[in-house]
Amino acid sequence: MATSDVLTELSKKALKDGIIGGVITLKRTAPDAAVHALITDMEMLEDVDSMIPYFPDNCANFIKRITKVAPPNKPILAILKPCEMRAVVELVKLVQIQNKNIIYATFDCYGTIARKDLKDKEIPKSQEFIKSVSDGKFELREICKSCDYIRSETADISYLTFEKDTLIVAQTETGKNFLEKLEVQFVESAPDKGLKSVLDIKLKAKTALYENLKSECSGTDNIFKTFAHCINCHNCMTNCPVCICKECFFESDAMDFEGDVFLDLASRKGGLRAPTDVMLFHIGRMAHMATSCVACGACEEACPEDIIVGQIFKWISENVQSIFEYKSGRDWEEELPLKTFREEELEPK
Amino acid sequence: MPDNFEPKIVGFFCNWCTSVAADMAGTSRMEYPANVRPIRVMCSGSVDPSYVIRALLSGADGVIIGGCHPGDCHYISGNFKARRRIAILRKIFETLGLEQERIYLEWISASEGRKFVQKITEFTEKLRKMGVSELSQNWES
Ligand code: SF4
Ligand code: SF4
Ligand code: SF4
Repeated sequence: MATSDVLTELSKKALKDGIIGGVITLKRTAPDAAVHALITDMEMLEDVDSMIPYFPDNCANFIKRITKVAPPNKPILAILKPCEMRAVVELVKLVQIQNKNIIYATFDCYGTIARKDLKDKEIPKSQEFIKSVSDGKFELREICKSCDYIRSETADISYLTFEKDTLIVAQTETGKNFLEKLEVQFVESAPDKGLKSVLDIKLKAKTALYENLKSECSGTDNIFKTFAHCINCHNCMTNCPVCICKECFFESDAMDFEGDVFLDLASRKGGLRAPTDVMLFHIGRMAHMATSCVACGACEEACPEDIIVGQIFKWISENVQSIFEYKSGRDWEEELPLKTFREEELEPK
Repeated sequence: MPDNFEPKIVGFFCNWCTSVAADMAGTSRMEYPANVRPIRVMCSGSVDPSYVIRALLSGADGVIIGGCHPGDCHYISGNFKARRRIAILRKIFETLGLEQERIYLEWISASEGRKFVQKITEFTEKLRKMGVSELSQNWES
């Protein structure tokens, strides 16, 4: 059976047997577009290819929405990319997702193609994509090219395609129960030979990306250049799964002053740029959420100005998280760095 | 850079410790550089990193945050949280190739007027040597 058909068949059977109430998956809306959808009708699953190389948004946002008022009484199967699963874990820790009755299934991720590169073309089928992605036939999003989290260990079910044989792994009790009820064959521990060889390439790309960012984007002038086209629309923040504040600080009254203050700010440097506070927003946002950034690049996909904001945030966040030996979303138990502290650490020098 | 460059410093001082130390230094006529614009905050833990960034983007050459010694926070753990937030901000600056040395965190208790003077003098000296902050000059911020 071809790649993601395994997941579709599994979803159909679970729906038919009444084990779940619905499935969250990607579904095409146009040849060059797809959305996340909560599907309850088996017929609507017919043409579904959950693994198409497309990233409309981080699906953790949708799960947050669905569980916000009250989680569903009947389980929902959510088919996610590893970076979306990472965001789910962070959002559960941040008390934004009520983690009940969602069964998480992830798959080995080969990466996705930027939406702007797909305009008026066709999103390839996952099978075709997986077959030739290693030949360089498709240009991946930068953030995917260098992604070091291509298999999730926190999901209930993990669908392995990097290995010699495709395998379904039950990673939690929930996953095991689910697969047993479905009478689907599964294993309980995952081989990682295939994973390692893909990861090797990704890690090299990541080193190259960070070296490039260091030479192109660091230093005062380069940072301002990087954000020179920013219109301060805050799309990056709105689409970011881990920017969770009800009212963003950078959209609050704290940004408002009397006219005289604006005049004073302008007179200090001879002029004041509008929209104001672009750099304050970006560096401030990093300071707020870098400990939880999952390097999904939803921000970059949402940017109307093609600013490499996702790559910058990934780079900064990895450095910030390393202070605390933390990696966002890799583990359910690790404490959020901003929720805790050690009595003896980080003494100012 | 002019020889007589005097750095502008914004100080966020906790109400329960560093602000008291600053007052004491003042009333006992200890001498220290007049470069600091002090801002009284209820706790070092209440200083959002964006206040620090805002100061550095709007003309400050350096920012100093003064809080109570570990274990002495009036609100139990505000200073521990400040320490993490400032470490994060400094790491962001370091990665972005900005001068993280312009951000200073010090524990100065209410009785440490002398330490207050010493730290302000030290920081001012350091900033004099570093010169004008590039970040404070860029009008596009
Ligand atoms: S900052 Fe960008 S890359 Fe990081 S979690 Fe938010 S949307 Fe994803
Ligand atoms: S930028 Fe900061 S204040 Fe705004 S939503 Fe993100 S975390 Fe909240
Ligand atoms: S989405 Fe792009 S243009 Fe809009 S605020 Fe973010 S970086 Fe700036």
